[in-house]
Amino acid sequence: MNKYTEQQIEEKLKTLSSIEPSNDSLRRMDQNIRSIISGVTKKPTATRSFLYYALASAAMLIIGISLLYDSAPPRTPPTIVRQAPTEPTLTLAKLNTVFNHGGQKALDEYFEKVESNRQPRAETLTLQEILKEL
Amino acid sequence: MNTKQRLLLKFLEASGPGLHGMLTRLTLDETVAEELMQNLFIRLFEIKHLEKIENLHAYACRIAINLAFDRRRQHRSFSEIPDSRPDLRIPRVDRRLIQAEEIAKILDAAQQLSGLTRECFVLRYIEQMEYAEIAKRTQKNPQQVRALCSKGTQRIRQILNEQNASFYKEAINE
Repeated sequence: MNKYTEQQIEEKLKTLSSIEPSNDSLRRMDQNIRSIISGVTKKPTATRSFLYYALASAAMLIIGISLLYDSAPPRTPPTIVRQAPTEPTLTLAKLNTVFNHGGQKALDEYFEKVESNRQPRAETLTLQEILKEL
Repeated sequence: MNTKQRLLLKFLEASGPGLHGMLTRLTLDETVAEELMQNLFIRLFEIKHLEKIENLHAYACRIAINLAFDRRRQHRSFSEIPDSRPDLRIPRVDRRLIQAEEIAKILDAAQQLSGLTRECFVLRYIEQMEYAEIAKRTQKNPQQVRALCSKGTQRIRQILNEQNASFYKEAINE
């Protein structure tokens, strides 16, 4: 069985020390590294930090929630508009007619007439009055 | 071009060929050495305050040695050199025997050395540097470097002899 000695190891490694790269290899290496240093060759990007991922997920969450709200706006119940029953209106033409036919006195009479003709609101009618009308 | 780029270009001109040579010897493959050189410079490029490093060559050398042994660990099969490779100028004719069998075994064993011991071992026995020069680079004194190199060789010898013993034991059992 062969046993290695320290001397043998040193001598074998001495043989290794005579190995040199070729000129082609040296030139290639020089060109490649120059392009890396000058920025022609893209360098590998550094791994993204935890903060990057945390911020990205928070932003996506916010966008998601806002999109969800935009697509389904909150529903408001429809407002019920009650229309008042029609009443006799005093137009400018009617007023002119009134003035032409007697002035203030005629106007008072007109208002009395309007008041007497005014129809009571439905809410104010009693049950008996409704039955009478029917 | 900024200060860091200029510094790296200057460093490439001064130390690039030497580092490439060392990586070729450690990986026994020029193409792998080129790839590792690129990785080395990308790492250097990513250092924020590169100009503050006192001995950039020593620093880069340490990274290069680690890269080479990491690569060796990941791709165990690349240690054999094809006989047709014309670029590697080894003075012996029995290249295959020397490289594939012995050197690869020694380099594989060197993976098991600790960081500083391995660095000293590589610089002394593969790069053939003087103890004083290694001491300057590693910021130790020459005696400490000598002790580390010796420790490294002893450990490698021990590993190789153990491997040999187990090989013969298996052969006898068969």
